[in-house]
Amino acid sequence: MSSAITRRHALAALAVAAARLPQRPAPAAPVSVVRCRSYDAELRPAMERLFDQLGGLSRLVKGKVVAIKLNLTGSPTYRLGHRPLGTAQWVHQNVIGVTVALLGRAGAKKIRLLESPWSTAEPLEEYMLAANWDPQALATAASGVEFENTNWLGRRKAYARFPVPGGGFIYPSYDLSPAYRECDVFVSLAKLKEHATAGVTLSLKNCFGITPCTIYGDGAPDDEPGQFPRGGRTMFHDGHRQPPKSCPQEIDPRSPRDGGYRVPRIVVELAAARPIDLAIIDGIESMAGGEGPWVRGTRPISPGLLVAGLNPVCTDAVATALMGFDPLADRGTPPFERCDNTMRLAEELGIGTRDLTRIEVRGPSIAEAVCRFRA
Amino acid sequence: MGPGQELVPIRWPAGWRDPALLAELENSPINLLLLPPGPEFGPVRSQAQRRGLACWEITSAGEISAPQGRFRIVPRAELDWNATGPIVAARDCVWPAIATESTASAGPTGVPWVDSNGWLAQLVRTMLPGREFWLFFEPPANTVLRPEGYALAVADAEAFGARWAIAFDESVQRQPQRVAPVLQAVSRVIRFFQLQRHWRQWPACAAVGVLSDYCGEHRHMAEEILNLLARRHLPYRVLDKRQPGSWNLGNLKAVIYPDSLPPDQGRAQRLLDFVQRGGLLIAGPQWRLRPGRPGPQDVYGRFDVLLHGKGRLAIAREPFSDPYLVALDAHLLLGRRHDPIRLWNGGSFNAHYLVRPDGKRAVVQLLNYATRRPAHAVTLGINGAFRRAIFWEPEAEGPRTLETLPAPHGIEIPLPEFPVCAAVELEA
Repeated sequence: MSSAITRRHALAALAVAAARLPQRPAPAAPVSVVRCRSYDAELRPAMERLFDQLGGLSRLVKGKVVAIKLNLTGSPTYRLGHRPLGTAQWVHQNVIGVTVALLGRAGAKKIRLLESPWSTAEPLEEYMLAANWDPQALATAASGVEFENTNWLGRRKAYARFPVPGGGFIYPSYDLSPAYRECDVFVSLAKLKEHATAGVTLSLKNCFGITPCTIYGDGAPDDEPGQFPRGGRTMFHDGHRQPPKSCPQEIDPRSPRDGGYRVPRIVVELAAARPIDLAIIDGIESMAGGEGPWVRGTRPISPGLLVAGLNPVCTDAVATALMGFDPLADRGTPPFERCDNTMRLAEELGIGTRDLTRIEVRGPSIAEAVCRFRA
Repeated sequence: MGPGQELVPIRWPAGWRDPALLAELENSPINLLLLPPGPEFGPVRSQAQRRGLACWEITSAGEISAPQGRFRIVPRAELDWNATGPIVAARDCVWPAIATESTASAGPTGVPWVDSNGWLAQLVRTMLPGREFWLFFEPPANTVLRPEGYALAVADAEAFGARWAIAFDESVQRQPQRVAPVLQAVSRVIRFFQLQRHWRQWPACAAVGVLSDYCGEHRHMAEEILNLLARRHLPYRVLDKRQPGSWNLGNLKAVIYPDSLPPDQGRAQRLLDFVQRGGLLIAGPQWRLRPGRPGPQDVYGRFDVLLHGKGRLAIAREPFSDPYLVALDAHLLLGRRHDPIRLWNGGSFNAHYLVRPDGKRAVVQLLNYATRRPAHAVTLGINGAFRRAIFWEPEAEGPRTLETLPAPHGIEIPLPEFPVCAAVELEA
């Protein structure tokens, strides 16, 4: 089986995308940007302003169950130099805490913090403790806060199936933790980072991690989901195996096995199957050159920015531009040297536009706030 | 060798018959030759004794013939907890290093497997208190070792209160010009630990104790749990089931009882008292006394959890069979909130945390099994209130003060790079 992207597959993909092209242009939504230099006292007023510029949180979350997918990628014991994880590859604990507090103040009925941490079923609180976080501070930031590791079923009975509207590029549907269904509002709380495989990892790519490794991990059984997660999600990257037989299989196992082809499509499928209602991106302190310290050549960077929006594609497009990249760029152009542009695929599915001329930026302009990740 | 001076042994290579080779030991702390048997070593012995070195013989039967008598070098799995004599010697110990068969060497979560004798040294110090513990192991064959590898072999023993009977690899034995850099590295480490001998008297700071008789069918499981807790960077205290009077349960948050035979009534009650006061007891299904009411289930559903007094009993539903799972479950049942230390980017590290009985000083001994400066800077977290951290390493001329940063659980200390071993001394 060739891993190269053949002309036949490229044409087929184009045809699929063309068939799915929305009749109307992909929707546009405002994106809020605020400057914030630290995670200290200035953070809360900055985040209040961030959400106020979107019209406030109450109308979105009042009386609702809110699920927040956090970006806690990689091991909690792996740091970029001495930097705590929240100032490099993870969304910062204080950003989570203030978000939770503001959601609570806005009337959210329940707030679930969700993540599928790498290859483990341990409670999310334990994962945070290993990073030297204080999960108790998050649990008490608002009432009704819960933590759930969605890498496995835990105490739940069965996975929930999420079909991809339009049929999907790689998989027709995904089996996920029911926690992603049992919410009225789904928030992607991401980090402003580049990504070795997908170019950038923002609110869309963050949702790659909603998938359970009991099904999509390398050590998942052949027939049924595993009881416990084993291994990482390499099957998403290289398609070397299929998920367990009881779960949705690939549409075309002969499609390219290239991560730069597959990962952006899987990310878009997930965003279509489990729509993101609120995208929040922590760009106060971050890392450049990749999504984690395991990527060679990564370094700290301090953009001093927070970005949020009600449309994840628009939000990611603005965030991409704030990193000094062109969200309209595609394979072969930074930061998409070896991959397709996730935002283009999402736009083609009608999730949202990446055209900055159609997106209202509330707060400092992109030109004023840009922090070039490859300067 | 003066009276009361501690013994620093080296296994004299069988191929070294020339007494001139003794010059290599000059300026080293080595003061005891362990000679092979045979009259051909007579000149070496005579010359060594003139230089003030002690000479003992390792017999062909694997015994050490010393002036005070003979003692056996026994396989580590056969160490006799009733042994007498001032020196305990074990063979079949591991060469301390990152295991070469490890497949988890890189990636977002890859943590390499580390081979260490630290757990064995801690076990022997508890089971045979007051004895010198000597480790016998050979450098790996067909490998050209760097001096740092030898330094680590020494440090891995010394940090845990034991001593390696130094042995050279074949390459060094054949090329005596390679001896000097090896002995320089080894000597630096030995002197470093000699200078800090008082640390050995401080008890281990631990959250969890492992209570076993470490005998018979219990031995392998209990020993492997020690080894695997260390790999989780979860400090432990060895508890000798035979000697309840020696149990130091102070400050422990949990006790693991892995033995398949239940303890007698008195010992069981002592453990239940520990639970009553707020401790966690983790035991196999053979545990009989089960007071209390059902509590929240563990993550993986492998235990029945009972609430008793201020504490918990976690009784496994199936007999313990995989020490990896026991260590994992113990850590999850206990919760990382109680981790005495944390390491970031420290996958190739081992740490040994000791606290002076008055609690005002502590030391974390750090060993880097990669024996080279790490690719990523390492940070040490201490779950305690210390205001000053002092960094010691064999290569440095003196100590230096390190920055301490407040953290949600105690303090964090960004560590300088070091190739083999170092220590962070803490002041409250």
